Amino acid sequence: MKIEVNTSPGAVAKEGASTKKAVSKEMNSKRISESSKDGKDRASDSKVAVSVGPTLNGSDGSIKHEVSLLSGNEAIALGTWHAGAGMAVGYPGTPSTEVLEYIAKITPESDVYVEWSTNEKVAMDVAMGASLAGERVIMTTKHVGLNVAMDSLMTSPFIGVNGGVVVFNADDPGMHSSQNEQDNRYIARFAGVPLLEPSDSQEAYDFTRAAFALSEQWDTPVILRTTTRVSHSRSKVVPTSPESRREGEFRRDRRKYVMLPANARVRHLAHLERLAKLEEWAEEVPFNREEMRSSSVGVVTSGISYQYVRDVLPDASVFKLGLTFPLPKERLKSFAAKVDRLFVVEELEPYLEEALILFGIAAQGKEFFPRYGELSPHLVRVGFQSAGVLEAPRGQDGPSGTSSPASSVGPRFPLLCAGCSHATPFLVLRELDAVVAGDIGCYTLGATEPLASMDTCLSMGSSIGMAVGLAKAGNTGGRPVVAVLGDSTFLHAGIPPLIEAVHREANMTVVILDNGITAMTGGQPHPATSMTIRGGTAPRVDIPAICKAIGVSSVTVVDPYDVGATRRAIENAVAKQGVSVVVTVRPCVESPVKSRGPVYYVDTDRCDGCQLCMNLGCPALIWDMSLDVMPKRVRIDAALCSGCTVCAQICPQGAILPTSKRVSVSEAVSSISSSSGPTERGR
Amino acid sequence: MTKATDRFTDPSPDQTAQPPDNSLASSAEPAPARSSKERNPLGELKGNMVLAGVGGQGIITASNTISFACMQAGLDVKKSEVHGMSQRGGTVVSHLRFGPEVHSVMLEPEQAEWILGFEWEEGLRFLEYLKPGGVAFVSTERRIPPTAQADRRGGRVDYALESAPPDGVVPIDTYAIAGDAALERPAIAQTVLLGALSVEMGLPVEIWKEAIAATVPPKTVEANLVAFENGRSWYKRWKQDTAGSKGQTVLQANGSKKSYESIPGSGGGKAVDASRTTIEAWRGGIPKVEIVRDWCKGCNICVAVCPERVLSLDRFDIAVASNPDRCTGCGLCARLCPDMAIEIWLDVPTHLGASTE
Repeated sequence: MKIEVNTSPGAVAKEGASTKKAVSKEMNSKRISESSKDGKDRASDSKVAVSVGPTLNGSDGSIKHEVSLLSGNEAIALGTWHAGAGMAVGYPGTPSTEVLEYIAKITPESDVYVEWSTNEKVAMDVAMGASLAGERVIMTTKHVGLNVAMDSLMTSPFIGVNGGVVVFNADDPGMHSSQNEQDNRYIARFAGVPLLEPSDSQEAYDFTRAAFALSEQWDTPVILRTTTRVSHSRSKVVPTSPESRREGEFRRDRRKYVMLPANARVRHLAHLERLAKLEEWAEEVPFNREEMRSSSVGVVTSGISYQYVRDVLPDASVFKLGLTFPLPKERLKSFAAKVDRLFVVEELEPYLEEALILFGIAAQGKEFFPRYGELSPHLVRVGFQSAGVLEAPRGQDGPSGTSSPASSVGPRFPLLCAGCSHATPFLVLRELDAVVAGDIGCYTLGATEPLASMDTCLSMGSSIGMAVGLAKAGNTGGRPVVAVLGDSTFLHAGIPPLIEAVHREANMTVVILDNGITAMTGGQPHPATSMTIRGGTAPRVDIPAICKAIGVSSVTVVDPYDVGATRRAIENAVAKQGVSVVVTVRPCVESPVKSRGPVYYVDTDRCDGCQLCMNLGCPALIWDMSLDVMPKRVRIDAALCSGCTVCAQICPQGAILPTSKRVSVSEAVSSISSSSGPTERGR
Repeated sequence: MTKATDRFTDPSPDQTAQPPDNSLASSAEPAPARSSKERNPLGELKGNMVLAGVGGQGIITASNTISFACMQAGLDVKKSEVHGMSQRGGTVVSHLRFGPEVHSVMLEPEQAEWILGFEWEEGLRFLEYLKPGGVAFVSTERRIPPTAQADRRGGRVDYALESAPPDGVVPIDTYAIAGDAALERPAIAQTVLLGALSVEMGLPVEIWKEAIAATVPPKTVEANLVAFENGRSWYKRWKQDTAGSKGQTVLQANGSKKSYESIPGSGGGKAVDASRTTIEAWRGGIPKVEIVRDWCKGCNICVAVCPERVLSLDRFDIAVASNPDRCTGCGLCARLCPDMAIEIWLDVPTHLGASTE
């Protein structure tokens, strides 16, 4: 294979950066480069230390291992630190979350200020401010989070940067944990900012470091886009020698930084001129490479799709794009001319394919490869089979067509954890038969059986706004309108719609499920958690006080482990005219610490198998198949039970009892409260 | 000039190195005997596997151990992980590939030499990835999801409880084999699977032990090493005892059950009893709800308490069974009705032609 090597303007970082070579963080760069020259055999030398995940060698921040098996997100975190970034901000969202977590884990506090922001737009603004103050800064978000930051993102290239700004965006094709699958490559084109797409962890590391330099060179934020499989797959990374934290300061430049129309008109022109230069520069960048093999088939691809193409068509020529905006028109044309048939393999939208059509290059793509979901080596193979490039499989059936035992295996859906404090409010809402506008978080699982009491889920914070609409439209068949959302989601985007609800006098109830953490993404602190990402203490925002300040007259705080109180609170709130708020406060059972009370068991003599408890959907409650009675009895899996007492409270037979003797349910509830005191974060 | 951009001007061997061929898809079974190469006797090993189970079973740790072992052997490794919503009690699956050079981390169907099932049904779920002749090491630990217990009348469980293991599946009672430590820390039981895998994968035992020591929590290293050794020796014996298996580990539906149980020192591991059939669903009839309309005053208690939402109030505020098919016959409504207006009849013959008891 021949790699086109071009020393391009992009490869030359600003002089400022080069003068600030890392001294304090000096790694054994000689050793690194020697080991990396051994190529694939470097790790076979027993002297090369390896690791899975980033491991550090003490306080000087040097990397202990030459070769680490890092996830894409870990590689981006390492790259950010090594690029001398002084700040990292973002909002948690799968598959982007781990970047900030790993920065917090591996960097010393003096090197990087890292913190979760209230939402993605706030993060983008914090990032732009830090940049103008001279810091290199990364802002991390999942694909739908970038929608929230769009307002600032669209104008950010007008203002430009001082320290480099990298917007790390992780798309989620296949919707492993998302409400939609949008292709954010279009956002880079829309905003007119350079877009880098790594296809493995080494590239994730390299591109991250290069992105900071590019951002400063071109005076614009740069988007670094991954997909789930790049972010959450581990492959080898060899780091290069790190830079120290960028030095800089805020310099006043109102014509550039204040987007009054008069200034913005000038800056828009500058933006367009830069775009023209970027297009020229794109022809020479080292991020793109042409791999000429057989001339019969050529494939234009990027990101994870590149890996699939290399596996499925090892002999095909490949134009691998690392910079997917702007695209190298001339190089693509010359590549197209060298091959007989040209294909585009890309996940989701025909972004590259459309660009090729505009360039006047004939290529085939979406007619063979799906426009939705994740690609896989198998789908790429099937696509090339239907295109006639590969022969169809020998049998009538493909491998997937054979009858496998998988078809007889039942599905296993995600569930609320055993002891989840969200179960009780949903049980009550199900009973009230309310029209429930839901939101995004663990509690979206309240829409699934058996809780089955959520009617909508659109986007972050949408529950309250949609409830206003539902209540104002009024056609709910007399059923009460309730919005349900979590604490982190409320702070993220729930406050403006609550203002709307109060101001418009909507007749509705808002249930805020406050478990003190952003639980869905693995337990990240938020402004109502008195904790920082590094584990320090932080001032806590008071959610009930916010509601009262907005003007909600009825704000009730209740413990969701107390079923009766929760039921009364929600029933009373629903009965009230105007906006009422119920805040259910109970720390998440899983994070930041696992909370475990006395485990419960089922007295099989008293249990009559009514299964009311199973309506909680608690994974600890299972059918006991061992008893020779019909109907069967319920059993509690002691390994899973958290001792939340909720099932014991709702059992009509009083058949669910604590294993520790003589503890009444109310005593148990209070014992959980006191035992989890230190972890309750001051509630 | 940053070092990061150096990498582009000075192409690293990462980018120039080409695999000798695309033989990953057609890789032969790994052979420990393949140590003729001078430079790195293990450098030509390659293989693919799927690790599957339920969140919290230590799947990521196990895949880290395997990755570490492969890296120590000088091999390229890639593996996929699962984060986010899929961890909430759902399936966790990781694809892991190693070899001289690995491109895609995701596998195609029938491409995996091995499957490691940390949970019985999850191990079976991904059998489509198993190559013909491959081996699936599947723990007999069962985690029955609540959704599989949605049938509210007879207690039918929608789960492959006792079905005969398909070809290529080695059922392993990991808890019994692992040793006592597994009772306190369930994740240790799964190291038995690594022990069994190590027999097939072709890496030296020392590398495995080093990898375990480097990747499991420091306090559990010893217990994990015991579980590893136990799993390794158990599987070696199992291979010997399954007759006529020349590298092909096929568990016959009935024949092998005996030999499986007769393995001495298998820690009393219970075999998957292939002869048992799936649990019979309760063929009881659908109970009948009878409501005396004249006695009902519409207090709504029965509507509120019914676990299955069988009842509702009609437009005259009288309780009616609006979803009679969902009644499980628990009798809660009848017992709580202050007006004794509800009667539940359990012995109604149904279309199934059976009655209760």
